[in-house]
Amino acid sequence: MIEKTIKGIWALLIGLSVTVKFFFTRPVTMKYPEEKREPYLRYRGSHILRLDEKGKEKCVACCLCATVCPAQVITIEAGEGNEHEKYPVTFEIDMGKCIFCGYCVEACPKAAIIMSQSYELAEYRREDLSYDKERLIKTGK
Amino acid sequence: MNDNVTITIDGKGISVPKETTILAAARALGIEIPTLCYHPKLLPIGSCRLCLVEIEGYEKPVASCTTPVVDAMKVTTQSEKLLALRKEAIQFMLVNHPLDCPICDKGGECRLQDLAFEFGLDQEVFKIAASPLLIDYLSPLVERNNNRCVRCGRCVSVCNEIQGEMAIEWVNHGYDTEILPRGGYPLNCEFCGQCIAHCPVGALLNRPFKYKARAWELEKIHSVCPYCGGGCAIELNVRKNKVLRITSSYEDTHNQGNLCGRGNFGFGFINNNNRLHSPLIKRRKDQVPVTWEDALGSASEQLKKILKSSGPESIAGLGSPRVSNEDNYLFQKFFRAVIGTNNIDSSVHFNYRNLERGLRATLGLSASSHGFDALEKAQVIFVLGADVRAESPPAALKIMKMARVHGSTLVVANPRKTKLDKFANVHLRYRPGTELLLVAGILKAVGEKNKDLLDNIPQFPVLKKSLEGIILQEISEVTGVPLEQIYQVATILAKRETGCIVFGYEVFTHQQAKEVVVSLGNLAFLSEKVSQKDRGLIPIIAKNNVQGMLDMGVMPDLLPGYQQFEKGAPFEKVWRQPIPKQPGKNAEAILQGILDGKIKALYLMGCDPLMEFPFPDKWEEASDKLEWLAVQDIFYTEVATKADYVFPAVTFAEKEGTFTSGERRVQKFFPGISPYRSALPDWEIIQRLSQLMGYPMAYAHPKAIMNEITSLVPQYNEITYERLGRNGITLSSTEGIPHFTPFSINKVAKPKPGSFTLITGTAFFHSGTLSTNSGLTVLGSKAWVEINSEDAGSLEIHEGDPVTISSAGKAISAAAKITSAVPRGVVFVPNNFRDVQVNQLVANQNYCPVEVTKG
Ligand code: SF4
Ligand code: SF4
Ligand code: SF4
Ligand code: SF4
Ligand code: SF4
Ligand code: FES
Repeated sequence: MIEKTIKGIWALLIGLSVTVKFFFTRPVTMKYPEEKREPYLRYRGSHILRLDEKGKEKCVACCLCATVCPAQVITIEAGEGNEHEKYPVTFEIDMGKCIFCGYCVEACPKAAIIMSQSYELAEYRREDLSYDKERLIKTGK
Repeated sequence: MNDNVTITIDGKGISVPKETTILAAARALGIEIPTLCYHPKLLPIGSCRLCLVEIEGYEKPVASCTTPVVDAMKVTTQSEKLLALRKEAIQFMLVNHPLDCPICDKGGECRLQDLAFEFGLDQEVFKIAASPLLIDYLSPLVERNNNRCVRCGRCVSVCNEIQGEMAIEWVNHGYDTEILPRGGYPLNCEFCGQCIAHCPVGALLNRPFKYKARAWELEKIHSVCPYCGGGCAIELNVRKNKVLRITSSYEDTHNQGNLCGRGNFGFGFINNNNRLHSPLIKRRKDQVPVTWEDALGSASEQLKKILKSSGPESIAGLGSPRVSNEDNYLFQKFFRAVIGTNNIDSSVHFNYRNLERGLRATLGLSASSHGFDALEKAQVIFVLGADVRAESPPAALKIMKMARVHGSTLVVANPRKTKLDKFANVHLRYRPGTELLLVAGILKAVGEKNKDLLDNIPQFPVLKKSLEGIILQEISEVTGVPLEQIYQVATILAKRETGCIVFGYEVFTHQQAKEVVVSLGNLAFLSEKVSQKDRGLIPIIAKNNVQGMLDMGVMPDLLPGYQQFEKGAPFEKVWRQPIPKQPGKNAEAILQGILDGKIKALYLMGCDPLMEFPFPDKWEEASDKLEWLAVQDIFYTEVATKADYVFPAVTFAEKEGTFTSGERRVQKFFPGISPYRSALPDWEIIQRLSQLMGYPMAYAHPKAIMNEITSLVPQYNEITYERLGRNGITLSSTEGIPHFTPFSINKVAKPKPGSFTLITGTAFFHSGTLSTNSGLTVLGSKAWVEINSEDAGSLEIHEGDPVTISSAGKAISAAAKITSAVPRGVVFVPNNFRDVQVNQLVANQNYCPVEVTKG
């Protein structure tokens, strides 16, 4: 009986020692959202449409990204600008269905589309998950 | 055969005819040689140097596309050296070629892209500072970017050889070679778009399509061009439920991938936002949008009331040569079986209806004697009263090719200059309205010249009698054609060579249209007898489904398949309804009937009498008088403004069905996009209306209607819906034996000197009024007056001045176009435009005497 009690207390002490040890180590969790994690450099978050030096979108609406996209979530309508250049009149990505594979970035011949490190993409309404051109440009600013 | 030579290519032997090129022989063996400038439709160009091959005993490699085979030749198509040369040739093309693939519309279907990929060329080897060339943003419809041009020369060849237009040319030499429009920018040509379709790279762009889609995003749906009676096989290029471009492929179409400007650029009416999208009902003064149930419910109730109170003869309908065979068949069935009247006709009453009457009377035919392929064998071609290029371009392409490449003798007779004149050996410029006299004169001249031969033909006296009163000298004076020319044509037609007689709009709108067709039938038969060679008689039909509509019986006097009412038993059996045995009212009688108050209800399917018919003012009065007027159309037409019911229909691009072209080729077309808003196919609207009228119709698909047609219309017996492949089936039209037929000629007075005659016809870039709702309006959306430069001079009219043309108290006005295309004393106004209703003046012909004044 006594032997049993001692064994029990010993086991309890072992357990408590693990707990106590953690009192003195740094926590692995974060107080999200007060604190935010820095993603790694290669993290693939929501997309950015980049602008050139003149402040115009670099994208020439070649549709390669839309073609390669395995989730088929990129919608582009091309148009002719004032200097006969080709530009995307509409450029939309449905973030709700995007699988963040990054193929679009790889396909782009103009380095016009890149991925940001932003991962806070939740929305209250489904429609808001569809990012239009303005929003994709703003993400980069 | 001695004309064959035997050669060895890559160790394989083949025997081919003498003129064969090495390339063709290799392809026959299944050996692939890369090419770029070569196109099987064009003469070899030999500019790209990709098809180089080595021949044993020859010092240098040669271009296989231009080199004919020689007996015992030993050819090698693949070697290290050839590969290097081919790579080099592509590298040279890439020297100045911009890296435009991401923005170039050709990307994805570009030969240069494919070649660079195939040969693994991903680096520019030759580096030269590029000097950018001018990009043509000025020309309508066609955009030329010579920076991307690889100087293959296909565009020049297609424009010269196929179109006979010669609008673009090579300039400069060597490194500075460029291709530019003859006479500089902007391009001024017939805008067929053929150069765009044949450019292997993105140097020529389809402007309305520019930046609209990438090649791989387009779905291609087989269809048939809805414009002329040529019935070119096309593909609708669809992306996201929108038709963005029209293409046609060389490999699988009867038109060899050739299209005209209307076919290429005229499809804009499909995606037009002004289309009717909802049924309308007139309530008090206004037309309000309602559901189909309400529209058809109310329409059928009112129609039943009229049927009950005034009988079936108080109801009439007008159909359209623009809608499908199935639609037209159901339309006439609705009138004959559901209503019980033969009061059904169409705009064709005023022109093409006489075709069948005249052909049956002489040659025992119900349509064109041959298909257009007969033109490709014709050594003698006589074109009367047709602007073939405008009315049916595929026939014009064939005629031009025969005259230019194969040396056929071409005679063109027309009151004004047409494109074919350029290639004609003889042109007769006769006075408007004298076609019958001219043909009678030619018949007489043939008769005179071949007396001995003809006296042996027992039937000849019949014809001789008709020609008794004819004095050639008089004919020459009235028609304005010199006597020698009449004899010259008679000699040409008697040549011992196969030939065709081609005729068009001027003949169909003649006061005695049937008699002219009869006289032409006689001429074909006579010259066949004299020359002892085949003579085709080929009508040129300017609207896509005229032949089909007539075959379907949309006319007051005959049942489908041109069957008499007495022979209507099979129809009664299938329709389970007795059909009226009395011929109904034709278009003119329908108008009179409405004005007299005898006709109270009118159903219009794709027909706008205010635009298309003579006496538009009377039709306007009539449409106000009707108790029940239903208009079924794709646009809100003039007459739709007066309708009690407006039913929105779909275009050919939104439904399935068949068209029958001018050469009687029955072809299937398929839907590329879904119906525009609540619009429905014509057949379905008719079907729903007839159900509400108490007559059951339950066709699930146009196929079911075609099955009924093939069982009832003898000419269509030989086809089934399933058997109609990509190019359809051309039906034969022989129904009787050719014979000489008498005809009578009305007197035509000689015009007074100094007086004017107005003629009308189709403007080349348009076809009916359909195209005026499409992108073709960039080439002109207003009518004009063509006037001879000398006449213009004496009236002090300058280019662009307003000109008033008046006759019998009515007048029209349009801007002057000074030209030598019309002779003195003649003015031409196109009939395609809403702004000038030339029908008001010419009534049911295509010409009339007028006064011309400035201002
Ligand atoms: S990341 Fe992948 S799934 Fe998302 S848009 Fe790009 S290609 Fe499509
Ligand atoms: S691949 Fe790049 S340039 Fe092309 S459409 Fe996408 S973002 Fe624009
Ligand atoms: S559009 Fe036709 S006519 Fe004009 S340049 Fe091209 S091929 Fe020639
Ligand atoms: S424009 Fe096109 S078809 Fe014409 S030469 Fe240049 S590459 Fe060839
Ligand atoms: S209008 Fe006639 S020639 Fe032109 S594309 Fe259509 S069918 Fe062919
Ligand atoms: S294909 Fe023979 S030279 Fe171009």
